[in-house]
Amino acid sequence: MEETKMSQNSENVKYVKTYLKQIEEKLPEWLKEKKSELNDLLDEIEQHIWDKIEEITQGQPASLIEVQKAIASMGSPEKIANEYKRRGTPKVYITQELWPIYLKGLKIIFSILLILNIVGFIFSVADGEVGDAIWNLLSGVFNAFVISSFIITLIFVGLSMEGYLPEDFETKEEKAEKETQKKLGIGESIKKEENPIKIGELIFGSVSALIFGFLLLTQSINPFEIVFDPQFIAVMQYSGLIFIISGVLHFGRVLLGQKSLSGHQILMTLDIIFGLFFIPIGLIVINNPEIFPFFNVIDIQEIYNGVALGFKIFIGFVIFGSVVAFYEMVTLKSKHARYLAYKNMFNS
Amino acid sequence: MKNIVWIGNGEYCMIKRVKTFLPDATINSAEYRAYTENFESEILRGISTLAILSIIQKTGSEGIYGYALLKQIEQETRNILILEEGTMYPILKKLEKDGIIESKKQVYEGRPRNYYSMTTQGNRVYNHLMGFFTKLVESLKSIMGIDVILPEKSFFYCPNCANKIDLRIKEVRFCEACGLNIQDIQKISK
Repeated sequence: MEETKMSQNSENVKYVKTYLKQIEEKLPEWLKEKKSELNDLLDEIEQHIWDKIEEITQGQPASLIEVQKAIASMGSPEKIANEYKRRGTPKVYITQELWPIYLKGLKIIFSILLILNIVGFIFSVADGEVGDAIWNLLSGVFNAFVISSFIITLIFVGLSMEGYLPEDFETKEEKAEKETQKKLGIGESIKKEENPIKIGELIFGSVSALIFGFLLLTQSINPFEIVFDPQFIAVMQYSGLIFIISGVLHFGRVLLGQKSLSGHQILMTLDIIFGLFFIPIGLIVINNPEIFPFFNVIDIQEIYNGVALGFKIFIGFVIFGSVVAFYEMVTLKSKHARYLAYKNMFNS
Repeated sequence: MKNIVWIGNGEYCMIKRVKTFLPDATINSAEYRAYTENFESEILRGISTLAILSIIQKTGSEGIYGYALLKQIEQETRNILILEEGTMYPILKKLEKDGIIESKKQVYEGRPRNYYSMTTQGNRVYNHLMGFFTKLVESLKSIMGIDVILPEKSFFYCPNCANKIDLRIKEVRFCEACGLNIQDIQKISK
């Protein structure tokens, strides 16, 4: 022990610490994020080096050359770090474990870009440019697919090379859930089912929709004292009304609680229908961009197109949101049944 | 006397440890060395893990720390199997994460060390893999011209799944891995 301390003079220690720092720098990010595991690993390697030095020097004080010899026997920092990246089963540059998430990511991004292209197509057709609209739709979809595939593939190849696995993206709650499943002997293939009726979210949605709707309906808050165009006031009031209706419908769902799934579906359907009323409101602003309040202050022609584009995107999101809401409404009962079955698995 | 070329010095692969050779020797070719080094790495990858587990298994519940494990492997294999020391720890971490081994911190000679020992599941997996490896080597003896003598009085290899079964444990009737009734089979083979 004393001989070891004699070997640990400041120069030798500095050399060893530098080597450990080089290893740490080369390690994958997922390991660097786990501080205690990282420190454990580096401590263990450091102890190993001092043991090796002791073996080489036979307990005598070590020279720097002997320290270097001991470190050389450990292998290069890259080689050690690469062993930690050797995780996952290789598939095609992307590991088998990350493949499902990769495919899911591609589907989501492509779906969003497809919907935006379709919305653009609808407006182009409405403007009377059918030929151009079709060409733009096809080229837009193609470009969207190519660019999104390229970017997402690069990201996942990078993650695979660093040895990332799906578990590295799990939240603490998901990890705890998995541990519980393991302890209960539930197989890994059981996916956690969440309750599709989230009362907290419904309360929040209801309150915010009611407040926002009330503000739009009454224009009770106008800090800059803007003088609105009467037509725009009507637009705000109609929007406010839709928000208030949505808030009331959400509140209705809160009152239903976990009962009457059919009741929930009816209220969700009404919410979708009233939400679609934003489309004609958006079209009014697109066709009359001068009613937008900024024109009272700044009279610049180019802003017309900006406002029109902004509301086109808004309508795109309304359509997209309606599609998603419709899917959630249709699958509500099946998701709730799966959630109850999953919950019973833990209670039995 | 022809020039002697020195290469390598106690590194991972066998061929890298060859220190002296004649200039016109086959291993003087860089391509040949690179190819065989690669091949040796492939062979050693799985065997190293098995060797590590074999040593850990022998230590029982006491366990063994990394450096001592390395030294024991070198000793038992007469310095034939030499692991690149730093890369042993990722292997140990992976085995720990897979539930094959477990670690506990203990202080030895004033220094905290991680002592590794087998888990119950690890022992099962190890027996299975050792059985497979043993039967594999035995099956290759005629192809490769090697002689293999199995310790038949101490171990039995399940004819169904090759699981290695310790006959020194009394009243082993069934294979732990596949459930095959081995008592009857043993009687027939006798």
